Amino acid sequence: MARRLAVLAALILATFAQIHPAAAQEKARVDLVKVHSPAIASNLEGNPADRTVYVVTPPGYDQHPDKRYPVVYFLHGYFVEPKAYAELFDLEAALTGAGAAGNDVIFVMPDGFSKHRGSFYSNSPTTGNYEDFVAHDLVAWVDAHYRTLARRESRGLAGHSMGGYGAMRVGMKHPEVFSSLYVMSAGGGSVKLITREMAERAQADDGTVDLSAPVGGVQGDLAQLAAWSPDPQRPPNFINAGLLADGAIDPVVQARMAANSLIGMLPQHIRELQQYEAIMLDVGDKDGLATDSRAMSSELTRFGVVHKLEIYDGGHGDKVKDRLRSAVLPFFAAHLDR
Amino acid sequence: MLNRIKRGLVQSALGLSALGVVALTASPAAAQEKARIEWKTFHSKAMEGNLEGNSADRGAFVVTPPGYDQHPEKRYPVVYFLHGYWATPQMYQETMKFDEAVDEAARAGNEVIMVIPDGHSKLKGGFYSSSPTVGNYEAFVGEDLVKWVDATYRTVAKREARGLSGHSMGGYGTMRLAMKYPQTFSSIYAMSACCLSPMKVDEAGARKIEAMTEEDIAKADFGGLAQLSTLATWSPDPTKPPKYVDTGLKADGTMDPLVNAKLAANSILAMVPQYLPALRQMKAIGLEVGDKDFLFNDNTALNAELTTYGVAHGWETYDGDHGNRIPERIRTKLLPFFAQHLARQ
Repeated sequence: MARRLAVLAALILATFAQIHPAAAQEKARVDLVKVHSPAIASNLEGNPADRTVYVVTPPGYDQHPDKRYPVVYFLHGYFVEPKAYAELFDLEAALTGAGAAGNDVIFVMPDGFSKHRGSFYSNSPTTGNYEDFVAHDLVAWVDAHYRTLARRESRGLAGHSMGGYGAMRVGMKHPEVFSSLYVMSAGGGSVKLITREMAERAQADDGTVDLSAPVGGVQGDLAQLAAWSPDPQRPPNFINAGLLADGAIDPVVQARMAANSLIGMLPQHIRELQQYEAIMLDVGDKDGLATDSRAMSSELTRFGVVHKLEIYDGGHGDKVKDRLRSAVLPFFAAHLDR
Repeated sequence: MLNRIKRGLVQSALGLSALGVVALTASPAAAQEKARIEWKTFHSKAMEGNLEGNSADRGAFVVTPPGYDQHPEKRYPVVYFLHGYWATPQMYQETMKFDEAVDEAARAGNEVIMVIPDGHSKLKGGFYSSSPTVGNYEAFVGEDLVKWVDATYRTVAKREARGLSGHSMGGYGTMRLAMKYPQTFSSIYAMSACCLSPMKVDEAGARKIEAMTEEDIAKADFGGLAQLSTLATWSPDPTKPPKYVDTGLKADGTMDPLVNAKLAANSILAMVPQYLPALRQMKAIGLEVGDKDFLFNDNTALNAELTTYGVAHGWETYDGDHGNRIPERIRTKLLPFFAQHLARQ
């Protein structure tokens, strides 16, 4: 019953969010909607199954009720809620600009936030199944509520940082849903191994989240362990950090971390990646993650997966707003079917 | 560790001739009173273009139950069975006598089609995985084979009527494909599954593999070949002929840790937490292992892991080793398990 009410509430919210002026839509419009995701429901962290989603429709959307549009899905980074990216990007201006340049697209940014500040867009009983939320629930909802071209050829997937990881991960697993990928400053490319110190700190954590804590420290470890080494039997954080009685780390926990690194997953998914019409990676030359992006690119090259890597003058986040306009949206303009 | 897999199981079948296989496939024109086993080949698009040159024309034994010919309107559930490393479907047939097992099952009211695809490769096993070096055995079985069987035989062509099972490397394949193809199979039965915990290659192992010549490969024993075979499957490298394997040994003599990450990424214990939604879609999961099997601890760990994650499953240990009870357990456990869980229409 509670769930049904939640669905109803989400529907009502969604309906209100879509009420728009009768007047012509001259600019892109940012709708803030709630999407109910069965894939996220009943997770152990209590992350809400009603997810905030930004949906931006292009200028002219209201005036052309027969027109259907390609969709760019964008996954935001760790530590923040999607609002931070919506503001950083100034989505209305970005999509108005794209529309003016002849690139009318719907832009969708779902909420990938979780208790420990980021889901890594993975499936986990602790965090909820964010991977399935994006690839199944979200895409189905958007296709049902907006005038999309509802096929893979017209769906692009992009993301920044943790979202770049998510774009690559969800992309590898779902070539039947998306046809081009743009991966910005991806995290999670290399293998993260758990040290004794990390495990002790994570296991000692009492599960209280301090949302004013700075980035780094135990919270990032907890987020990744929650995504990749969940343990429903171990409250309060429902993670298995792998600390054994003798101080060593359980090799299965290390294996899980490795198994969820993009570079570890890659060779199993060559056929899937080869189905993409286009794959783009970019990273700033002063970004600490540039090494990971280079390594990812050489792995893709090794396996004959056609892609491009662009390294630009910048850090992890300072050029992202600009690159959404100058690189990401034009990339999808070139590759998504209309 | 793997060198014990074959003991008592496939060794006796090594001398099986091609003639013996042909004889098995001859089918009577008359009414089909007994189960019939046929060796068929079909083309698997997923296997095309692999670097080892493993054929994309794949064979499979298909066993139809007694009465199949007489009831042209009747459709049957299908039990897929994946064989183990080093072996071929023919070697397994020698030991398991799948046709007799299907025959007995039918007489007990459990009429099924049983399909045993060829998971053999140049290095004696594709681990039912996806590798540019070895080929995409995963999609060959999970997609192409199922499509071909449904198009060629009178199956109940839906997931509720498809079971997946296997032994050793095939038990690994069973777990792996269940995670990747929950839309295709609805119940699984893994016998003495291998490769559950993460494998590792060290510098000495890498050096040994780098030094292996074609001749060494041809005469390698089980243990010697298994490590090369798993690396070809899980750490492929299309830029490194002739083996197309990344052993992790770098030019400066140190080991690239990425290789062990790739091996880890393919271990079932590491994969399970990522694939819980798929495993939860299974109507039934059966796991079993002999108490004297060298894989006993690994399978015990998988049982514990599934329990931790609340994935409903059956778990049985029995008095036996890696191979000595398998023919019997196919009859007394595996086929009755699917009789209970597969839909008949």
